[in-house]
This record gives sequence, structure tokens and C-alpha cells, in this order.
Amino acid sequence: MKPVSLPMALAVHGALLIAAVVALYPVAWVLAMAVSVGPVTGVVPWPTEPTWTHLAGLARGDVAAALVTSIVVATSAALAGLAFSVTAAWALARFDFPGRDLTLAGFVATQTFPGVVMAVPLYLMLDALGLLDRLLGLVLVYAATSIPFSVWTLKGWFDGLPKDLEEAAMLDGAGRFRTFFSVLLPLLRPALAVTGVFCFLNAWNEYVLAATLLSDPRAFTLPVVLQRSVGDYGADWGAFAAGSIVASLPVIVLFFALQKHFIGGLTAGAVKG
Amino acid sequence: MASLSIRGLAVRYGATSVLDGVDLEVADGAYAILIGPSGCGKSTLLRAIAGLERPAAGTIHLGDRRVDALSPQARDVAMVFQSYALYPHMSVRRNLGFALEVRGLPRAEIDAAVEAVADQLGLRTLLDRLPAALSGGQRQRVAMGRAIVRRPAVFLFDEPLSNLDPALRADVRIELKKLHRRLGATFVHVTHDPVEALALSDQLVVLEGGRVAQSGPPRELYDAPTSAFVARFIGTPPMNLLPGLGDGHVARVDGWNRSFPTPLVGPVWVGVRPAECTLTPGSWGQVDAVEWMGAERVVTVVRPGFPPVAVQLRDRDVGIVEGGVDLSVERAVVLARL
Amino acid sequence: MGLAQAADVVLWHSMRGAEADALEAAAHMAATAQGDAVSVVGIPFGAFDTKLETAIPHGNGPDVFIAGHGGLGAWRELGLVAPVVDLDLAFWPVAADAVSLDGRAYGQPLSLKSLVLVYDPTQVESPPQTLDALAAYGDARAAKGELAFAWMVAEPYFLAPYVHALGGAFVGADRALESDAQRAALAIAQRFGRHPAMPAQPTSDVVRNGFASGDIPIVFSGPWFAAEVTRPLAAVPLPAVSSDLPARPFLTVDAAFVSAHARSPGAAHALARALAGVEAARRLAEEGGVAPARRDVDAVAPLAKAVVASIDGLVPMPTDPGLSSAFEAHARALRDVLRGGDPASAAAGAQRTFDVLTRPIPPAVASWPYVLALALAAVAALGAGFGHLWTQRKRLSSGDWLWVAPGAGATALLVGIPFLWGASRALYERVGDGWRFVGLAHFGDILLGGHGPLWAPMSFWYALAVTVVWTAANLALHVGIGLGLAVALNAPWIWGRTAFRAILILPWAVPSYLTALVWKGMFHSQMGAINALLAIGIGRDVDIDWTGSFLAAFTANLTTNTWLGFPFMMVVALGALASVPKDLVDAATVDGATGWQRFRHVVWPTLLPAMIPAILLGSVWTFNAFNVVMLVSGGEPNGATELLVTESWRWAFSRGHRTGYAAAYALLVMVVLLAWSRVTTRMGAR
Ligand SMILES: Nc1ncnc2c1ncn2[C@@H]1O[C@H](COP(=O)(O)OP(=O)(O)O)[C@@H](O)[C@H]1O
Ligand SMILES: [Mg+2]
Repeated sequence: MKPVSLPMALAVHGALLIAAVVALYPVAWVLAMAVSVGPVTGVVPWPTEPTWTHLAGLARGDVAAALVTSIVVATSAALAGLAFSVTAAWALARFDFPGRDLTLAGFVATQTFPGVVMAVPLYLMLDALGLLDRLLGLVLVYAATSIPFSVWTLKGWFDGLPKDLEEAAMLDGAGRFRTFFSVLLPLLRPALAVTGVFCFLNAWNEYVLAATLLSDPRAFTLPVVLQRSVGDYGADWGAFAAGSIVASLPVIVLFFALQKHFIGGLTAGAVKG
Repeated sequence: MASLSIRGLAVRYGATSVLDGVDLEVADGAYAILIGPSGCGKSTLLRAIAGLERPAAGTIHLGDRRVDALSPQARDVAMVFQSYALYPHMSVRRNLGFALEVRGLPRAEIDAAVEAVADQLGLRTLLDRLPAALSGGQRQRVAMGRAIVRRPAVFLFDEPLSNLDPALRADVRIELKKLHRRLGATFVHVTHDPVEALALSDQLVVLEGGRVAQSGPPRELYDAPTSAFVARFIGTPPMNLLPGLGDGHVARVDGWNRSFPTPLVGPVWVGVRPAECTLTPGSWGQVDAVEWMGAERVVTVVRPGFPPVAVQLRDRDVGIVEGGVDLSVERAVVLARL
Repeated sequence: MGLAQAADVVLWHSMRGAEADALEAAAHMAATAQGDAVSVVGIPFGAFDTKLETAIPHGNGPDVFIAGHGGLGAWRELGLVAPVVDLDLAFWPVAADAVSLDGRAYGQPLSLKSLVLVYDPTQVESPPQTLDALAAYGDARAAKGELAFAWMVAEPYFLAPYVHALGGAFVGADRALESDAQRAALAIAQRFGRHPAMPAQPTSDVVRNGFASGDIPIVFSGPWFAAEVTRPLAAVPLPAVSSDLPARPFLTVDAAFVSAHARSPGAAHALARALAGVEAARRLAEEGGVAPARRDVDAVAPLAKAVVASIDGLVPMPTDPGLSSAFEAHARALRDVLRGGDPASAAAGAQRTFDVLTRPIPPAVASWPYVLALALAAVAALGAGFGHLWTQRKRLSSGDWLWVAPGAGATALLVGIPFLWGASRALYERVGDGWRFVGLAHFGDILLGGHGPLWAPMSFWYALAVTVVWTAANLALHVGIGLGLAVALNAPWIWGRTAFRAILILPWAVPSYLTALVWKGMFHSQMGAINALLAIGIGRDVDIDWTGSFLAAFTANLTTNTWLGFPFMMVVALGALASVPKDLVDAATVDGATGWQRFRHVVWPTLLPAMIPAILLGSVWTFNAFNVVMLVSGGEPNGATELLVTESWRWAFSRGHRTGYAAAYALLVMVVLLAWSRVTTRMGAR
């Protein structure tokens, strides 16, 4: 390992430390709000009149149920989004067919239309498909909205993979499916992890569409339930903060579960000596 | 086992034509080597045989089967890539057995085949490693093993030795020759190394700018190249080409009193292999440099208006290696000069 | 009851806390009494109106919904509510009035909400009855360096009591905002808004925190305030301008409305009636602390009592759908006077804004030329498409398309088709419950500044420039910080790598709605942590008004969005770094490249292809990121920090529901972004 100079190491650690403090500071306010009855003011986010009521309130049926719903929805949406986009990304990266460039551009184009104007038409669409108020409908919507980014990202990774591997697999007699599943997917683990986190979070924190599309309280996702603590006249920030903490935990767990895949690409050793 | 027959093959990338009317016959069980300068389309031809490039025109037959429209999987060919293209996430064992696994062979059969090949190639102890944990030579063996396991009719090698160090290269060259004999399959091997080409091939194919310049037994190409391009490409040092003039019966070279029979009229090259001439004291040219190569010496002779001429002398022969010399040749070929 | 079959009535509301609990209990009680079942659904307030408007016409809505009566005008226009035939005479007349339109009642009043003067009885013995008394009390406390009262005077709702008191109307009959009463009220706002005993920028958080901590003994608020603080409180009607001019706050009547598409109207009406009945009203008053809408039920909570005490002066909130535009225009005037502007010119400015916001919808035009042009374009496009396919038919293989089809199909179906529908709205405008075809009128208005100067807040070109600067600044910071942190975290000698990684993704993990509001709180000029930290940093007081100037407000937005956005880029960069071959970096090291040179010439070029999608789409998202601007600066000052997308949002949702105009805005945004994405992909291809 290349030695690093002490001042350099100190500087980098210092910078990371500052970034960590900045990242944590507003989160600390959320934490303080979650355990305070009264206001949290000043420079140091320290709880005033500490209380467990907000956190205890989370045990109420609807938050727990919404948590489960959200986990199911976001996980399914991430898996579906990945499945749809990884196949498309491969085809767009490798196959040469008419309409390829147009498709790629089309994926970006769908992202450029402000979502503000989309909720109502989506409602009509899902209503027409009979998927309103069904988690399946929401899963499809989230999967679809994450596909463009995922396709582009994954295509970038496919572009970077040596083509030889796929050709070798073809000569070994593997068909497209076999090549895809046995040779390519394992190599794409880092990309799938990054993209999967993105797809998951895209669904996890989404509120506007969920609130518009869902009317059955049993199908409410966590952001919808949390947002209920904000009313026309004031809001229950303590409850919102407590709920937000609950909402962040699965994300952190997911990130930890996947982070080892981010590191260390697997293409090492594929080629040459 | 199958012969390989290619007619009028053309491959294009967009508007650029890479292969343009390639005709080639390789006999069943032959060891064919494709040689040519970088970028002349060797890899492309190999890939077209493998089915990785779709030809714009022409036919490819393996034995009696016309294969140019078939997918690579259906062609019964194996290819060793220049980059080896080992599956980085699979152990050596799985790399070797993947083709059989894909065919749905029973586990035991795959294991037996893999182990047999591993024994042949000395990979036995490496079977459970990942490619990243292998040396370059070992990776090369795995890449070859992966082809052998399948027992295909035709083996395709794209510069299989180019990533190896010289000592290893010589070893593997011999192994390849033995392997060919043992398997009795048709080999098509791409290289840009003339030594490799002469040492291994039963049939040598020189490609020039997307066409076959000459094809035949290596000795034929060595002794009787049909173009200056082929003449220069085969043999080290390359054949000396001296500018001459043909009158339809004989060709003459300036300052030389010898003439060579030729039906050509106008400018010609008179080609002389460095090993097929000797030096006598005289005034035709001046010795410019002498390189001692162990068993031989290579003497460079210069004469104004001529390219430098290389002469290969056995080291034991006492010959003139200084001052003015005359060149006497045992054999020469006359080629068109365009 | 008369029906043999029990009905299951669906009830929607957007209440919270004790009020919601009491409502739910009352609803179940009422339904059980009739032998029906009721499903009570709490909907987030922010989504309530949109949901009503989309769900009810498609038969997916509630049978009964509880809401403030302010939306009634729009609901009736859209045909969402059914009239009530037999309104009980026991309601306060003003409440019955509020839920009626053209002499017909449309809802069963449940409770009253209006502003009252809330005070801390442990500190204030006799609450001020007039504004002069309030000012005197304030002067006395200010002399001691203390705060006295908090009045969110920048909000038109909080000024309305005095516009009314002075004999004016919030929106005049002739759609006039400007009046002597308004100017006088603006002067009052100026007098109190800049009073030394009043906290700067009294947001609801400041009001609540100040009262809860005992620093501010008097606040302007309503019955809902009781749920926010635990300290003892009492209330009286708002202070009068003078003894003969009592304050006349807006009255909002929360009522039970029956959907025009109720599945069993009988049961729905019965439930609504029962919810407004004596028994339920008592329960709501006792458990929910609300001010009952019935004369025969007494208010229980002190704040509710104060509402009832001011009943004679209450002015029902108008149900005119243009009201939100009046609010926006008044808010503008208020900001002007609070910054020291002259009330008369501020009032004139408000009138101009209001006129722009409520300008008439463009006239209907014939649609056939458009239909023809569209049809021709479609035929041409299809022809070109098939022609292309025909010339490329050699490359055509259905196997290839199979791989793309699921993703492309899902996107086309769930994003593409809704997009086409949404985009087509740009040629229409909503009129009542229908659509009027207006052709390209919206585009002309937006691009040519049909309603005002081309280069000023609220104009397309100004917002476009702000948006471009916003996007560029964000992107540079997101990528720079994200990449820098990723590279640092990737160094082999980093200590505590896992902990750093975990902490640094937190901004992405915690719901951004809340953290954006935390940032907004931190940017408060007086109570916020940012100014306090800056003060510690430079050793003297800092009172930057973070919404006072474009630069400050933009910086606040940018800081918040950078905080929210860098973790995404960091994660993408971490993934991309994994694909940089170590050999390459080692080779560069051996070649003597310094750390920076290695990064610049080896790592970055290899990284870039993997980052291009994130950069491209990140820029698109930032361009359209409206949450932060809505929540942090709210477009302040005077719309200077509005982005194209927030402008579009305002037209769609708060400025009289001009959905068509908003769609035209959105389409223009799309055109800009498509041009931009072409540029980026070109850059990526190089
Ligand atoms: N994908 C491609 N697109 C365009 N040109 C290519 C492509 N692959 C190879 N070529 C060109 O085709 C020619 C032959 O390439 P190749 O067969 O790889 O040569 P070599 O004989 O060195 O193996 C070269 O000039 C090369 O630039
Ligand atoms: Mg090659």
C-alpha cells in the first residue's frame, strides 16, 4: 500500500468529519423533535421536556401497518424496476435494432415532464386499468418511474463490460437468457446494488402519487401516514419526526446490506495477464 | 471434424468494408494460420467464422453444413479469445465446464471431462481458483481448456500467444502443435508473428487489406510467394526485394550480371531470401553492419539506389564480412513491381 | 334505517389528534345508531382537495367528507357535493350561511374556526381589548427588552379581521382588493409587524415555541392552538380597532358534506346529519375541543369559547374559487409594507397581482385546425417511423425488442400515456367541470408575457433564468461534494469508513419533507441556528433575513438542496469508482502522476461514463425539484426564487386551478430539458 503523508490523512479525515457533522446536524434536530414535547430551539438540538409519547405513538396500528406496506411496495418496486431495466439496458447497450436510439431518448424524455402535472392523469390511467387503490398499481407506477434512470445507469455499466465475455458464452453454446443470467448478472452486482438502492428510495419516500392514488387506509404507505400529522392548522412535528426516524431505519439497513457490493468491481481477472 | 470453406465473404462496419471477397478452403484436420498486418481483418474473419459478425455477403461451410446464417451456438466451433474472456466470477472448474453445463450434461460427466482436460493442461491444482488468482500463462491454458472440453469440429484461436512471455510462448507453441495432432480437429489460428506462422501451420493464409493475398502450404508461401507483400511478410529477416526490369523473358537487376527467367515485362522485384545468398569480395555493395545472432550472422549490404540487403550466413562459414562485396544468389523469385 | 340493508358509509377527513379521534368516535356512534357501518379515512391535508376532485367524479370517493367550507364554490362547480334539504335551525346563522350557496345549503356544520387572542393567564391579567392597548402592552414589555405578542401578520388570513373591521372586503364585489380599509389595515400590519415587542418573521413555529417557552404571552391563533402547547392558556376575541370597530376575523366552518356520487345517499345524509347533531357536537366539543356550530351546544375549551364569543363579528370565508389568488395578492402587499413599503403603493401592487392571477381564461377557439395539424403530424411521424423500419428491416429482429419491451412498455403505459393526457391539457383550460379548447393561447401568454413584463418575477423568462442558475449551482455542488466524499471514502487508509458512509447517506434516508422544514427553521432570521452559528463564528450578532433578498433566499434553498442531494451522487460515485481498474491507477502512479493528476486524467475519465446518467437525470430532477423551493423560501422574496416548476405548480393548484396553463408551463419545461439532455448526451458521447 502506498504510504500517505500525515497532513494529507489529517486533512481528508477532517473534511470527512466536517461533512459528517453537517449531514448529522439537521438529523439531530429531527431526533430531538421526536423525543420532545416542547419546541427545540437554539443552536444545540437538545430535547426540551423529553417524552416517549411520539415514539410510543408509532406502535399504533396504522404506522406499523404502513411500515409493512411500504417495505412490501418499495421492495417489489425495486425488484420490478430492476428486472425491467436491466434487460432493457442490456439490449440497448448490445443489440443493434431500429428504434434503439429513439428508445433511449424516450426514457430520458419521460423524466423531463414535471411530475406536478402527472398525478391526475396517472390516477385516470390506473382507474382505467382497475389498479387504483391496489398496491400492485403503486408498485408498477414506482417501478415505471425508476426505469429511465436505471436503464441509463445500467446501460453505462454494460457499455463498460468487455464484450468478449458475452461472445465467449455464446460460443460456449449459451443462449441469450443463459448468457444474461449466468455471465452478466453476477458481474453487474455493484451496478445492481446502486440502482436497486435508487429504485427502493424512489418508492420509499414518494408521497404525492401515493396520496393521490390510494384511498383505502389499509393500503396507505408510510409517507402518507406520516404526512397526516401535518394539517391545515399546524402540525404534530413530534409525531412526524418520530415517524421519519422509523422511515429512515430500513433505508440505512438496506444500504448496509448492499454496500459491500458497491466496492470492488468483479471484472478483475476477466482479461489478459 | 470438418473442413472449412469460405466463398466471397464480405464484412462491413457501416460504410467501411473490412473483409471484401475472402475465399478460403481449409482441409479437415488442417492447422491453418491467418497472418497479416494489424488491422487487415484477421480477427474479423475469425469472428465471422465463429458467427460473431454477420457477413454482408458470401458463404461459410463447415463440412457439408452451410453455417453463415447460424447462430454461434449452433456452429460447433470453439474460440480462444485474445483477451481469454474468462468468466471472472466463476472458478476455473466452472469456466471449463460452462459449455457442457449449458448443454445440460449430467454433473458427473462434466466433472470427468473437466478433470481430464485439466490433467492434460496441468490445471489440476488450480480448479477451484478464480481467474483473478491466476498468472497470465495459467489463464491462457484455462482459455484453451475451455475450448478443448467441448471437442468442437473447429478451433479458432485469436492471437493466443501474444500475451505470453517469449519462453512461455515457445512452450505453448509446441503444446498447440501436439494438441492439434492429438485432437485431429481443424484449427484456425490468427497471428501476426511469422515465426509462429511457419512453425505451426499446415496451411498458411496471408491476408492483405481484407482479402486473401495467398494461401497454401507454408513452404510454398516461403519458396514461391506470389506477391511482394507475401514475400516480405513471411520469414525473418524478410525476403530482400531488389528492383529490376523484366523484358518478358528475363529480369535484370542493375549492376548484376545475372538474369532470372520471367514472363513479366517492366519493373519487377527480384526476391532473394537472406539465407539463400552468399557474399564474395567485389564491388556491388558495401557491408554496412554485421549482427551476430549465435548460430548465424546477418550482414547488411548497401548499394546506392537499392534498399539495404540482408544476408544470413552460418556463423561457422568463413566469409567476407567487410568492405566491398558481390552478392551471389542460389535462388530468386521474380515478382511484379507496381 | 328504512333500508333493509345496512350501508357501509365511507367518510374522509383531514383532521389530526384529538379532533380526529373525537370525530371518529362520533362517526361510529352515529352510524351504529342507524345500523350502518362507517369507514373513517384520514387523508393528509395537502392531498385532500386533489383527491376529492379526482376521486369523486370517478366514483372512488367518499360518501361523506369533512372539510372547511372554503372549497365549497369549487366543489359545487365540479359537481362534487349534494345539497342538504333540511338544515337544522339550531345552527348559528353565520355557520348556516357559510355552507350555503345561492340560498341552498350544501353541508352540515360541525365546528367553527376563527382567530382569537390567546394569552398566557399566568402572565397576563387583563388581555388587551383594542389594538392600542395591545401596542401599549407591547411598548411596556419592549422597554424591558422582552417580547410581548406574536401575530403572523405577513399572512393575509391574519390581517383580514382588520380589513373587515374597517368596513372593507377581502375581495370586493367588483373583484377589487384595493380599498381604504385595505390600506388602513396594511398600515396596522406595518405598525405591529415592525413592533419591537414582536418577533421577526413570526412563523407558526416561532409563535408556538415563543408561547410554549413563556417568552411571548400573547399570540393571535385559533382553537387548534390548544393542541400545540401544554402551558395553561386562555383566550378572548381579537382586539378591536377601537371600541366601535371590533375585529372581524374570517370564519371557517368545518362541515360534513355529502358527495354527489354517494353510493347510498340516504345513509350518507343520515350520517352527516347525525355528525352535526347535538350528541355528536357535544362529543366533539368535549373531546375535540372545537367550537360547536350549534347554538344549543356549549363550547368547552377556552379557545373555543372565545370563538363563540366573537360570533357576531365573524365573516364567513368566501367560497369563491379565486380566493387563493386574493390571498397571494394580499400576501404580496403585506410583504411590501413589512419591508417598510408605503401601504398605498403596496395595495396598488396587490391589485395588479390579483388582476394578473384572475385574468380571464382565453376564449374558446375552433379545434379542427389543431386536430388536422396533429393528425397530419401523427401520420408523418408514423410514416417516417415505418419508413425507417423498412429501410432497417435487416436489423429488425423481434428477439431484440423482447428484452426492451417490458421496461419500455411499463414506462410508456404508466408514464407515457399519462404524459400525453397531461400534455394535451396545455391546449385547454378548465372551466367549471369541463374543458375549454383554447389552442395555443397559453403558450403565447407565457412566452410573450401576455400578463406582465417579460423579465420580472412571475414571468417565464425570469423563472427560466433562475431555474438554470439553480440547476447549474446544484449540480456543481452535488457532483463536486458527492464525488469528493466518494473518493475520500475509497482511500484505503480511511479510518471509520463504515461509520462515515452511514452518516453521509442520512440526508437521503430521512424523509426530505421534514428535513427541508428543519432547514427552513434553521434559516429563521431570529430563532434559526444558522444565524446563531454565524454569530458564534464571527463573534457578533447576525440577523440575515434569509428570505429578504434573492441572494439570501437562493442560498438558503441551495444549501438545503445540496444537503439533500449530495448523498445520491456520492453513492453513484462509490459504485462508479468500483469500476475504475486498479491497474490503471497504479500505472499512472508509476508514471509519476500526483494524486490530482491521477484523478484528473485517469479516474475521472473512467468514472464519467458511469456518472453521466446520474448527472443527466440529476440535472433534470433538480430542474424540476419543487419541494425545497416551496418549503424553504416559498419563492420569496416576491417570487424571485420561484422555479419554472413551482410556477407551474402554483398555476395548477393555488391560482384558481388553471390546469391548462400549468400544463403549458410543464410542456415548455420539457422542451428546455430535452434540449439540455441532448447537449449532455452529446457531451457524454465525446
Ligand atoms: N466494431 C468495429 N467498427 C468499425 N470498425 C471496426 C470494428 N472492429 C474492427 N474494425 C476495423 O476493422 C479492421 C479490421 O479489424 P480486425 O479484424 O480486428 O484486425 P486485425 O487483423 O488486427 O485483427 C480494422 O481496420 C478495424 O479498425
Ligand atoms: Mg486482431
